[in-house]
Amino acid sequence: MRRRALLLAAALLALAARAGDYAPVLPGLKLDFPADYGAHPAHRIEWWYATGLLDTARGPLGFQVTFFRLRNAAADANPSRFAPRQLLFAHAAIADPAFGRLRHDQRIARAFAPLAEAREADTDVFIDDWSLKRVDGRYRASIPGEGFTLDLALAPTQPVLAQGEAGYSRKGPRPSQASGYYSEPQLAVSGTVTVDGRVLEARGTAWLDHEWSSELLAQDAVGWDWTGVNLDGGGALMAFRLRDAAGGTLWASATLREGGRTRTFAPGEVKFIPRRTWRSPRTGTAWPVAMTVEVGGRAWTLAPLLDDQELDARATTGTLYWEGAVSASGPGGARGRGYLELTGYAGRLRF
Amino acid sequence: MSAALAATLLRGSLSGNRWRSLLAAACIALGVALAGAVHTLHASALDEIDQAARVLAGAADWQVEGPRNGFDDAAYAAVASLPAVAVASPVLELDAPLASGEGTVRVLGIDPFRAARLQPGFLAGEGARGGEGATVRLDAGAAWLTPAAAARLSARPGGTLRLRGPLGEVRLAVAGLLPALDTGGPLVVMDIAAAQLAFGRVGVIHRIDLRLAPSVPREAALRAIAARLPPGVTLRRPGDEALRTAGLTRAYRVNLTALALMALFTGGFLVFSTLALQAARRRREFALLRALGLTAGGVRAFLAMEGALLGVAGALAGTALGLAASRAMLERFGYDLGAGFFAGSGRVFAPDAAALALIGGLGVATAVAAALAVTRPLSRLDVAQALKDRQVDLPAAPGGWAAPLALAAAATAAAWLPPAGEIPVGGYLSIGLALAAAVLAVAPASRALLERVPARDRPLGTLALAQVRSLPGHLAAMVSGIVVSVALTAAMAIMVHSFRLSLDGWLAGVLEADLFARASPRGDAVVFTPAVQQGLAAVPGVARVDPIRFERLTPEGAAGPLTVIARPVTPALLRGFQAQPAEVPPRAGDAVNAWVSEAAVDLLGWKAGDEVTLPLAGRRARLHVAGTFRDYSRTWGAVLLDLADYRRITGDALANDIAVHLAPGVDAAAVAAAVGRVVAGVPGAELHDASFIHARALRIFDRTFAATYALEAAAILIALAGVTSSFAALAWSRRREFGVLRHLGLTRGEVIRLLALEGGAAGLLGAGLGLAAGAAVSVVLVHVVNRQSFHWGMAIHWPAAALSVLAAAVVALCALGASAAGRAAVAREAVHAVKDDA
Repeated sequence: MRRRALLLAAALLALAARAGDYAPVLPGLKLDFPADYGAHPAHRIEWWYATGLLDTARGPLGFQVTFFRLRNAAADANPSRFAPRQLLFAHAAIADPAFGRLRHDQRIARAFAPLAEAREADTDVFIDDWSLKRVDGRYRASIPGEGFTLDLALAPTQPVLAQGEAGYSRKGPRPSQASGYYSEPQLAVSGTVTVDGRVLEARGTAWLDHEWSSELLAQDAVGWDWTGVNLDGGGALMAFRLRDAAGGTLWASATLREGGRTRTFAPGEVKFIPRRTWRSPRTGTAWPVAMTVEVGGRAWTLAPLLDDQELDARATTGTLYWEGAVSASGPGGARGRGYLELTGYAGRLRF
Repeated sequence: MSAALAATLLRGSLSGNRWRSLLAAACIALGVALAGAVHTLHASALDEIDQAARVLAGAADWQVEGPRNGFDDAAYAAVASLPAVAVASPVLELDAPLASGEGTVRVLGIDPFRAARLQPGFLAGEGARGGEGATVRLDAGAAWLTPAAAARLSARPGGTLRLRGPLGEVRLAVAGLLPALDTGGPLVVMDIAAAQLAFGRVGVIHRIDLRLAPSVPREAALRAIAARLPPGVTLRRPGDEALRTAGLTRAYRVNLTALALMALFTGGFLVFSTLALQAARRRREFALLRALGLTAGGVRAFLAMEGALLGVAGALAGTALGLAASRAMLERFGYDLGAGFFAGSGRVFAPDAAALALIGGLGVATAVAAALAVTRPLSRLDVAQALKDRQVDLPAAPGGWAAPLALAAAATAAAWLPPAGEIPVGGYLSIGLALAAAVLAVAPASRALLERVPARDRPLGTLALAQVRSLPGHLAAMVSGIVVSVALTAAMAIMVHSFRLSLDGWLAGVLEADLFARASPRGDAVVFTPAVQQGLAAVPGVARVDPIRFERLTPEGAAGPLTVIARPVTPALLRGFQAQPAEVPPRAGDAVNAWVSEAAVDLLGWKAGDEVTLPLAGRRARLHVAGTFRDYSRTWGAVLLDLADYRRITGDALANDIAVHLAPGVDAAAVAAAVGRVVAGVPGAELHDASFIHARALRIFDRTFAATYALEAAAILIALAGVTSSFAALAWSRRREFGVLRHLGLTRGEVIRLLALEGGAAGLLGAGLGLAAGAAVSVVLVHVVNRQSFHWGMAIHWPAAALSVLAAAVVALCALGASAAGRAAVAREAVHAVKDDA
């Protein structure tokens, strides 16, 4: 669950007509592949979200490649080929401890064949020369950004991880506050990262989320925390919570795949406990960059690869969030690497 | 000659002729001011266009551009998906009338995310609410204004903007400002899809801004792009806009500059006559200086300095006046000098120092040249003679017919020279030569004419005739001045009169229907849909409606655009347009009949019988040029097509204008009212009857030429004032002669009448020669300068009454001026006058 996505959705409320214009996600949802790898244009919002850690000659690098699709039902009635019925956003970032902060870049476009599309048959989403595409069972991410380029292949090593109830993932107390949600943990990454004009061979492990929804956010939520961790030995942990203005938890959920078993945790079984905050010198925002996540009574400690992984895209997409590579240590010496996302810390969201 | 001596002499001579010196400098100043103002206005307008084009293009290095009514937006995807294209940004561009009815504003429909990659200013705005991010830009009801637009429309973020479109009123919420685009001018920016829908332009764009991929060689990239563009849609550089406008307005500018040069020429003449009379009066002074050792060159240098001083004073005053005038005009009227070329806001004031210096220098050079013309006879001065000589005069004008005849022949030949870069250099050369011929003809003509006048028994007449017949040098110079100003004034009057009568006749023919509806009296956003056209045709009492559709496009291989006029073509309409031949020939094969304007004939070389192609609606339409027609509206050329042919080729059923023919015998007022009710359903559309449009066109014509009339009047008044003051100086120098006449028994009144007669005779001579030269010049203006500048033909019409008044006024003013001068000269007692050792 991604805060920035919600921010975008919030921005889109200005455009949106009525909730009834968008297909709801309902209990009993059945994932159906390969169609569910592709876009769900009837829903209001959708994203494909790849994060991971790479080993390179330059040392460890975190990376993030995100494609968002937003439906704007208000434009449905306009017969113009430019009518912005679907918008596509892409964010990409590299976390480089030697650089001290994120390198990031973004693309925005209305869906417009053949320049920018989110296709329905399989994962195939692109904005100009930025693309994420599923070919022969592997994802290809090609991101020629400003100051860096990602050219990566992400190969699944285990079955799709359906979140929530077989892919029906609740986000609030009402059944319609939910998303279709599956993850691809433990993706084996190979390819190249170009930084400062140097082409680096890269290998590593990544996590891909694909989520779609028409009603994500409870009325009184101000933001949320999310983490996805690839555990050493093949396990996977996903946890999120929605926060209210007082910092209390409105809703939470977690999934743990371990030793071939997958367990889903109810809101009461998931806790996020901030351990250390870092204040951004640029925006003044205090981010809880180190967290303890308790899932079913077991505590996982998340430590950032570097503190400054703040991503400020307010000038263009109106979003300010912290999206960072973390290392995880858990009970019994268990370890893992993943990403932590923090949203709603820079003031109340506008809806 | 020492500087101190020169300064003393200069002070003496110039202060002794304070009024004449002032007048001469003022005349130079007028020419410099006019040329400077024209140039400054034009440079400012081009600067604003250039600045706006640059800021809006941002990082774009090429632009795809099509016809005025736009092109199929499918071309965008075709071009944008090429590897040679790094960024492509589609643009819909309209001039939308304000719902309040006060003018128009330019609306840009863009994809903000594409546009921002070339010009981030399209996204970086000051919003009514902060922090929504980019998506709010897609709100179909939202508009973003440049600060210039916000100021002009008195709109603030959070407010509402009401514009007119073909589907009715377009209401937009002002979502914010775009301060980074301020130099782009007053603009309303909205999403392209919303703009297409709101203004009924779905499927159409006007432009694609491009940034080429650096990895592809440019030539290959441009070839690849061009291969994907439909006919009539072309690639150009963003900076070409200003250049193209400069091309369109060149003829107009050159003509205004020619007017300015005329004023300079008059000024030069005035400098000449001032210095000449002075030199004559101070012959003994100069002779004394020569006797004291000053060389002939020194005298010449002294006079040249006098001329330069007048020139510099005039140039400085003129430059200041020109700047002030152009500034005031910019603030009051914008760049448009009445010709409709510029629609800019007038915010940019960009005087071009180099050009102004050149124009000022021209003023100084004119004055110096005039001074040097005076010194030529002086350098042949016989010092001993001059020291004794009490006669005050210039050497008599040389007198044969050979020089003026040779110049007249050269003037005639020059009229046939081809234009250079659309500037009628041959025409202007011919005019200059004709004026020179007229000036040189003054002396032989006066002898030839006056020798035939028999001596009378009335002594006054005999005396006056003798004076004029022998045409002393000072009188010759004065008559030359009259000749030049009368010639130029008469020529302009004949040209404007011919133009006005030709336009009048053309309008009567072109406006062959009873009523005319126009969808967008200003701007181009509103058009008549087929439903409105049918609604008008169905009004009882309406016999027929002729929808008229305009398009502006650039034929392949042509340098400039062409207007397409599509309307039902009938023999009556062709006669109205003065088409040659005025009949509809049978269709020749699959080519469509077309009539081309005289400008199209001149600029494109198209002529009757030719087969040509025109890029219509993205296809090459084959046209058969059936004939030519006259078009006083578009100097860049026009093509007339039958509406049915146009609609078949393009599928475009919209109309800009509709001509309504009433059935015979109906109550015209009642039907017009019914038609008006249908037209009123289209917001902003206007309905007028033919006579109103006819009268309005002539009013606009008169307004356009008002500046010309004013300049003409100023030039002739200055010239006459110069002549009058010449007489004053002359009369003063002839005080001894008048004294002798008084001793011989003439009364004071008779002396004054003598001078009046002399003045009248000189005026008559000047006016006669001037009218003859003016008639010749007007023929060149009408048939060479106008045709080559504006590409339209007209018939010559003689404004007999106006010319008679002009001639009578010149003669009367000369006589009056001379008698007034004489009255002052004989005021003192005769005995003093005789003794006076002038």
